[in-house]
Amino acid sequence: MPIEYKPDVARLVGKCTIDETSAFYEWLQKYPQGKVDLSDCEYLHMSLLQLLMAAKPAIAANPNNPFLQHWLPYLR
Amino acid sequence: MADSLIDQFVTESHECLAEANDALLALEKNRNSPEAIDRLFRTLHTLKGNAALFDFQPIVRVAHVAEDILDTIRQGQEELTSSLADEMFHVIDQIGEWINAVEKNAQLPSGAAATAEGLLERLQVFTGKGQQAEAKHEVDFSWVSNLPDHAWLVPEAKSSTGLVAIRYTPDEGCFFSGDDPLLIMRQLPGLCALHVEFEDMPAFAELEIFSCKARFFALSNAQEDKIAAYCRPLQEQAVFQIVDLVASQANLHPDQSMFLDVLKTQLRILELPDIFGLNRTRFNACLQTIGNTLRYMKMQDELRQFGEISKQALQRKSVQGLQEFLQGLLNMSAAQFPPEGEHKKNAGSPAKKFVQIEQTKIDLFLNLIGEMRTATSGLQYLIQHAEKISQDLANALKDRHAIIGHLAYDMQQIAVGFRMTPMATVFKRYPRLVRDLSKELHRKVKLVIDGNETEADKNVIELLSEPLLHMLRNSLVHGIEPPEERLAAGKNATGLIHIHAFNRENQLVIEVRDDGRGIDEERVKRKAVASGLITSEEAERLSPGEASQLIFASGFSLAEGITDIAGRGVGMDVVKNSVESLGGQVSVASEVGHGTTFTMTLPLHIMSAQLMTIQVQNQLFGVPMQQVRQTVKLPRSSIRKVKKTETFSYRGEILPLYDLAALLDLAPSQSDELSILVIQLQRGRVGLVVDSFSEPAEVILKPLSGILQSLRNFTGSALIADGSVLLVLDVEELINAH
Repeated sequence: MPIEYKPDVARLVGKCTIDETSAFYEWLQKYPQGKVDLSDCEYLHMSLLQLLMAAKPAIAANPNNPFLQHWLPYLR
Repeated sequence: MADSLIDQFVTESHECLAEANDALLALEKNRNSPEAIDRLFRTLHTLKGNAALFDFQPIVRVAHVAEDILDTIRQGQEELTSSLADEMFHVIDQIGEWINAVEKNAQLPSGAAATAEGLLERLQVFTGKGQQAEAKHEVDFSWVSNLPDHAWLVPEAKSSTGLVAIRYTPDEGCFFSGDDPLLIMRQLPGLCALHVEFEDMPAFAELEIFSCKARFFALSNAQEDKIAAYCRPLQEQAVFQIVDLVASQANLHPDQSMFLDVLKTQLRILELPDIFGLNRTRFNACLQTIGNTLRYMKMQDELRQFGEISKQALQRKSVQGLQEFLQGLLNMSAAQFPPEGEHKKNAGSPAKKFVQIEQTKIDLFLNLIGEMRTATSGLQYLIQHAEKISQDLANALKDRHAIIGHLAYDMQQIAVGFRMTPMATVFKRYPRLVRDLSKELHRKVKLVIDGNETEADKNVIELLSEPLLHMLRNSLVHGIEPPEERLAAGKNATGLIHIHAFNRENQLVIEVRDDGRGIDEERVKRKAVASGLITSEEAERLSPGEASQLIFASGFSLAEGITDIAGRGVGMDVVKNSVESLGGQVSVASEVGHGTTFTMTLPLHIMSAQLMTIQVQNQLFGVPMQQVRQTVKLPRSSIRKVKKTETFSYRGEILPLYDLAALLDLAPSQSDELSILVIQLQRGRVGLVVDSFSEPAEVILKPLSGILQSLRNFTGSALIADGSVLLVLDVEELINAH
């Protein structure tokens, strides 16, 4: 699973494609206080980035991937 | 015209058109010059913007299409062919005609819309291929200078020039086609900066998660063709353009920074409590400052908007609208500042400030200074008078006189300088004229202009425009031979016309030299005899060089038939009359087969003149110093009569002698010793008998007005030091009339 969901944190791992969008949206709606761990994320589809930018959840761990780090200021 | 905004529009438009002409000529010479295309584009763009302020739609539309055509040239989709250049020149000319109409009537002529339609129809031929470019042209790339710092992936690229800016707006449904816009941007070649914004992002709960709302703004340091290839599959979703970050980005010009600082301060002042208190002093000062700043930045649109907003603020006693307006201005990017503002023209050097002053005001100022100088000279008489009473008083007066005299002189020099204009203002019209004429006449001509920076009085320069035009036409029509004739004569197929302006002995000299066929004096004589200007006997007596001067005679023409360009028998006499009316002289020198040189000599200023004052029958007159060669005294007995003309011997030459008193219908001099002024006229040197000579004087010449205007024997009047007025003689006219 590219996204591992827990009530307090969603951990995005490896390549996160458009297929994850619906489930991630539901989780974000269900746990508005939930945090997002991006440390092991390597690739994020635009639909997921769009969700993150709209919801602006708290970030549990910053991404290590430089291109994904670029988007952190947009998530605050 | 009462409307000063229209005045400003007209002035700026004329400047733009001249610049456009220059740029188009440069582009025609060097068809790949991006600098020339940009210059032309910029000037047309400014013209269009200014015309839009007044809703002069024909100008806006024509300039817009011309811009589009230039864009296609810039993109390499269209080439500047000779016919396209002609059309573009036609556009410039047409806009020029419209501007002239606006200058006269403050509005466009009634048929302007129809004329524009016709022009646009012709231009359509060239715009066909440029549809894609037109779409691109409309895209705003001003965001480039507004990118947030965190958008930079390669911060070092901030100081780069020639980056490619890409604006990518993915289709909302792109996710369904399998696209990932983020991946597309991530893989963009040479990616340096990437920024994303969302359009109409709904509340999170209402988000359509499979609808892409993102708009990307990217900069790349890859080659433009690489970006073009990469963006091709994205079709119209992506547009790109090379941008110069150094020019357009955060490095605002000092004027722009100043502008922003001033506005920020005003914004802070407007936030103060009780801003409308104290008789609105603070509020009014704020309005004044904002208005002045906008005016300085030449932000006409904003200025108009500001006028309305400040009115509302006063009526409603609320600064909210004003604050929003200022905030909007503060958010402007560098690219949104007026492109042709003075602040940009002076970039890199300390900003010069300019004030436009009506010429009549300067003339009035100059007249007053002239009179002040004359009045100051009057002190000399007081000093002489004071010397009889008290030497101390006389000395004190002398000191004051010297100081005031110096100050008045300095002031006059500065005021005269106000009107000094470089020759470039008139010369810049000629490359276009030579281009058009040489095309029409099938000549190859290279025009070289030297002395663009030589300065002379604005009036001299303006009045010179027409004579110079005639000279150039003359050189093209009669001088420069067709290429085949030149080649046959062993000359370069391309003829040369050289205009050279320079100063010599406080005078302006302009030479127009061509390397054409020269003036065939025998032909001139034949034509002059045939047209009744001179008799065949007179023609035979003419010495080499003299016959050439006949081309200045009224009604003389060498052209064989009447064309648009020459042959109407007007031309060179116009030159002579214009130059002489300015107090100057014109001559021609020519060598058959080698070329012709016209030389015009003119005073640098028309206002001030050096006069020799002379007295006849107790009346004072002035003669322009440039005509005076010498003063001599001769016994009456040395005068010889040749036929009916009195003559005298001067440096081994026999010169005709005229008695000024007789010429002026006054009683002739009876004295045994004659005071003679040797004068150089167009016809040659003559002697003028006067009663006495006085000191040369520098005066401010005034043209005769009212009833006196019709007096043909005088060129003007002048006030001299003792307060008396003298008339300035037109000796040539006086002798002709006798």
